[in-house]
Amino acid sequence: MSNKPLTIWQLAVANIKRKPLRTAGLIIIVALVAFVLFAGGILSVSLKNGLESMKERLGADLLVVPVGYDEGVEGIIVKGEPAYFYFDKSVETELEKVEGVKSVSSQFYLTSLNQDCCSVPVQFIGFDPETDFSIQPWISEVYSKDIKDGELIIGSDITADENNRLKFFGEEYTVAAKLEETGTGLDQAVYANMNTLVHLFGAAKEKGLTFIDTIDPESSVSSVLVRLEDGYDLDEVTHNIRASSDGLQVIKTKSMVTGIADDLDGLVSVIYVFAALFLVVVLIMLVIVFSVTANERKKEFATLRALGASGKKLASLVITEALLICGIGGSAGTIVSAVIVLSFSTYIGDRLSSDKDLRFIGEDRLDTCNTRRFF
Amino acid sequence: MRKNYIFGALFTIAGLLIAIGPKTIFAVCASDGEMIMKCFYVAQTEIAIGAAIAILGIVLIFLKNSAAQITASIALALNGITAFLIPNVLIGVCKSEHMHCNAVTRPALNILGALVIVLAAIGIVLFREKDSKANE
Repeated sequence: MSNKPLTIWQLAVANIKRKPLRTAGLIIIVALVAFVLFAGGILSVSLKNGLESMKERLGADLLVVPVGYDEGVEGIIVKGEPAYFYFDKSVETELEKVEGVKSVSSQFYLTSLNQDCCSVPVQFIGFDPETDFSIQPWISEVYSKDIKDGELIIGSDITADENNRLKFFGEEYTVAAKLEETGTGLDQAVYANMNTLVHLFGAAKEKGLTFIDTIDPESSVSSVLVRLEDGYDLDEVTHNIRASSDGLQVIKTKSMVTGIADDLDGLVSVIYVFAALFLVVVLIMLVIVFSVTANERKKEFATLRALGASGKKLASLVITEALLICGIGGSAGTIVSAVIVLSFSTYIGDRLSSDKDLRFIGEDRLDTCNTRRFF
Repeated sequence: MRKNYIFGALFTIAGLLIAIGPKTIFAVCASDGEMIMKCFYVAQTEIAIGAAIAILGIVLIFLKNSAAQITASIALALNGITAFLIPNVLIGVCKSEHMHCNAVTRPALNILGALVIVLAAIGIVLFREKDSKANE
């Protein structure tokens, strides 16, 4: 039988195993810290990424909607909360003439009912492929070359059947393309050209779904996206638009995104403060626990010293034990946190955006909010 | 404390969560009364699987023979695999990622199913160790 020298590592492992309850307690505390820090980190990073993609995706400097519907359009963009509102299409031509406006593109909004198993009400956005600059640049998967009448483009969260078809108001439509994921409400919308939207509008009416009785989809639009000429100031063009026509609400997309960014910054700061406080409390606790146990183990250390272990070796024994416990606890906490946060990422994202909507939209809108019915 | 007590208690808790969770804590989509979605059947089936896991967990607490403990752990692992497969492959949940059954129930059942499988695997190893020590 060969006698191998006892290493610090073996001694540390043996010590940890000998006190299973104390070890388990310490591992759980460290795992909790790792859980909170990792989950907080993932959440804050994904919140910021989502915001960046929304900023890029909008593509427009100004959004023009009927007066009083600024919150509705923010609901569509931020959370994908279906809404519809209309004004006269002539607004688009009027806006083209306004000084400082480079290009305009109108959109027409419509919503669906629950169609069949598992489909929630979705937002339809009709656009003019000739003038569009905010939808087509984001196509990531193309199933057919051109977007023809009767064909749809779907957001990344919408799933078509195996034949690339979707059924709305009793009629089937072919999916021509899928858009890139943005992490915003725009992922939950279905896009089509104006002719298809007019057809959908008619089909919805036939099914008894009346949006606004007096609306003629051929001569109405819901919003106009505006791009500015270089060198023109946002406030100046906003003023020009307001002066050119009544009944228009002009939304600066930049300030909309900045508003959300401020909200997110607040949320991220709260996450960081809680994580930091938690970390400090736990660090203090760990220091106390390790020093108390070191005091308890005076006899054990005295025996080791008598056997020839130097003071330095004893210190490295205590540090090895602490590192082992922190390593196991930290890895366990991080893995559990990753599994939980990634598994429930959709739900967490939905909850975060619905909390933002509470501040944006106000309680009165919540009564008519369909997508929230499952929460 | 005897290992089978701890494992038995953990399996019982996981089994109860699998059985009751899809109807309560991480409920499947609400039905409007006219249309029954397929996630409804996931919840119904998980009641049976969860109950089987919970009962096997209780049985494990009272088992003293290592071979019987290993057999119970294998049965638990198979039930865990079934609990995992039901929302993902065998029945499935609603298509939209944002439906409650897809965003909450399925991940919760996946985690619980995986937990049962991992615990059962650890149990098999530990009970086998105990068995071989007893035979030495």
